[in-house]
Amino acid sequence: MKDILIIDDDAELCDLLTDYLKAEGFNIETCHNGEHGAELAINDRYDLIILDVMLPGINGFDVLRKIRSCSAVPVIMLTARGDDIDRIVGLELGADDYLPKPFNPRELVARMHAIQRRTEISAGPTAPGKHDRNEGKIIVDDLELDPARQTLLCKGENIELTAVQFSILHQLLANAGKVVSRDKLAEDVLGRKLEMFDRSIDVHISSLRKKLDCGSGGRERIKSVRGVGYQYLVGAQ
Amino acid sequence: MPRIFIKIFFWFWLAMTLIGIILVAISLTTDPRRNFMERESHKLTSYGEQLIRAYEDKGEAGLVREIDRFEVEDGIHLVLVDVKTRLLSEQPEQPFLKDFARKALIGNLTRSLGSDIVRPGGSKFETFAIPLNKDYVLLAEVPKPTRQQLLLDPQTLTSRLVATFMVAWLICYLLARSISTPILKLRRATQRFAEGDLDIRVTPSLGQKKGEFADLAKDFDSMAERISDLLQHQQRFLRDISHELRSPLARLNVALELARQQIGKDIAPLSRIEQESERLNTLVGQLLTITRLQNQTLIRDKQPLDLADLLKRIVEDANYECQTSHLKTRLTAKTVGTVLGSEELIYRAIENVVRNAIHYTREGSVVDINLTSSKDGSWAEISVLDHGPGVPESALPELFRPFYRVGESRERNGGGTGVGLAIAEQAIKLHGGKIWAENHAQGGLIFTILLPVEGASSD
Repeated sequence: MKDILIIDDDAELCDLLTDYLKAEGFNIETCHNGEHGAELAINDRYDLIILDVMLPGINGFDVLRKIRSCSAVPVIMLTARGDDIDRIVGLELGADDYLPKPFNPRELVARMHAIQRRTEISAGPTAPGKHDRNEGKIIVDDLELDPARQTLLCKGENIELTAVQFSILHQLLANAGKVVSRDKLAEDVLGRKLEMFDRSIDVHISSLRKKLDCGSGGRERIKSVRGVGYQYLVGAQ
Repeated sequence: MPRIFIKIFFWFWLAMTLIGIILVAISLTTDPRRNFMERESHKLTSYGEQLIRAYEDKGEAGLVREIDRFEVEDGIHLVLVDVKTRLLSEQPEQPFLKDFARKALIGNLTRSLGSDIVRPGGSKFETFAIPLNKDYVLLAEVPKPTRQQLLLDPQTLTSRLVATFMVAWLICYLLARSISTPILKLRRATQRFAEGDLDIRVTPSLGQKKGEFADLAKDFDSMAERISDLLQHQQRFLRDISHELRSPLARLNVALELARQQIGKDIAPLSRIEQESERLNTLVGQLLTITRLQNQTLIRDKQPLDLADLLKRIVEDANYECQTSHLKTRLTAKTVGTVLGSEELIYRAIENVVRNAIHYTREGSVVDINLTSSKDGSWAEISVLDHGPGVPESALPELFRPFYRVGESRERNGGGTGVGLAIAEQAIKLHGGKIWAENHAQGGLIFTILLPVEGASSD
């Protein structure tokens, strides 16, 4: 997690962020235009994209849609604070997390680290010094999740997941049949506590459900336990 | 000339004319006098049978008594004639009657002969000769019907009334429908528009119709277009403003952290800058919230709310924050019916009221929060009582205005942006509820929030 692309039309903010994040040990590239940003994000290999929602020309959602059509690179969206619609739309389109603008840069770094940690854990053996309890595939029913390669097979067919969706499913499958609380999911996957009325986890779960629709024959795979969290239902359960 | 004028004029004119034509047709095809005669001869036949019975039972004396009775009761002259043309009841025998009776018997004629007979002073009577059986013929003089009786003849009258009713009903129905249908469509559209469905248009539902209503529909549509444009512009404008205000704030935040990074430690003025920037940011956020609430007419994610639990969370939060200032928030909750709404909006609304109370209550005092059900159970009632200075009566309704401050005594000293109560009011109103403030008899200010209970019949 070194190479970061910031897509934001506010050049001055980009400069300040570049200074700040460089001091934190990241390589930063910036782009002030949505079209160009989407191309950069797709063609070059970045470890993380920071994407502003309000962009001139094509907006942040369209950029995200373009990126997601061919890449699962982690994306943090910068949204207007209090605009929960923006938040939810962003997450539904496959953003990994969001940060309301104006934000505290320390918070941004914390979230970047959370995503970094997650990709490294998921990557398992390729990341040196990690525990091997995460090593090896998890197979539940017709799902086959391979943390090392970050792949998910459903009945042998590959399903594209974003990093966050992958981590959530990883957690649920590792605890298949048990209820995993929303707070625990948020802490493990997003690296933060959920604020009141924060529906991030629910939106990610709902995207996951849609993607896992394959061959379930209408069977509910992920069950909501109201007020607590989520549970992966095994087999005929 | 306006189409609607022509329409109403034409339909009324058509209705009147049709009714007129039908009435004329009815009076041409029916003869009230004929109906009268038919009814009378029917009645006379039964009289005749009574006479025969009387004659055969009691002889001539009985017959005369019966005839006298009919004369007195109905004003009808009756003469019973035997086949051998012997008058049985009128003396002396009158030859013209014999002759008439014979003709009647031979030709088996009844009514048509009636008017042939001319009797002295008989113009006021209709005369009948009715063959009863092989042996008898009844001659009768019945008072002629008056014009009024003929006019009110039940048979003709019924057909006239029915025809008038049917024609008037049909045409009025068509006319009323052609006027009311577009109006109702327009009204429904207006209601939906007022409820926030800005995409509703009327013209497509009216089809190919022309005229004032179609014009009105077109006008409505262009008005709707314009309003939704304006609203969209306003929304965009607000978003732009928030973006513009927040961009410098975002830069300020990053610059602040850069400064900390470069100094290598935190110094007090930087924390102060951070605090003020956060305050400014909250204010921008709240302003956006209130404008959004003012424009909103629908709640998207309505769900049943557990008010007691919601209040418990607010109180816990408040108590946690007030640990240092010797304040306490106390909750008494009774069970209330289900309230539907957005949990977040209701939470924020009540939280703002509670925060306001905490802000103004005396140090070391208690803020009392009470949840109960209204007497008839149709409202959930939440009251928040502080032990502060209260406000002048005249200022009570003003409390919900953004940035309103009551004099020196309620001057802001940190915390609160001045928009909290306005947000609370908008959110409660959006849920169909009410909120107001009063000075409590024992001092302090009491806020009351009413939220409608689902399924209860509210007045």
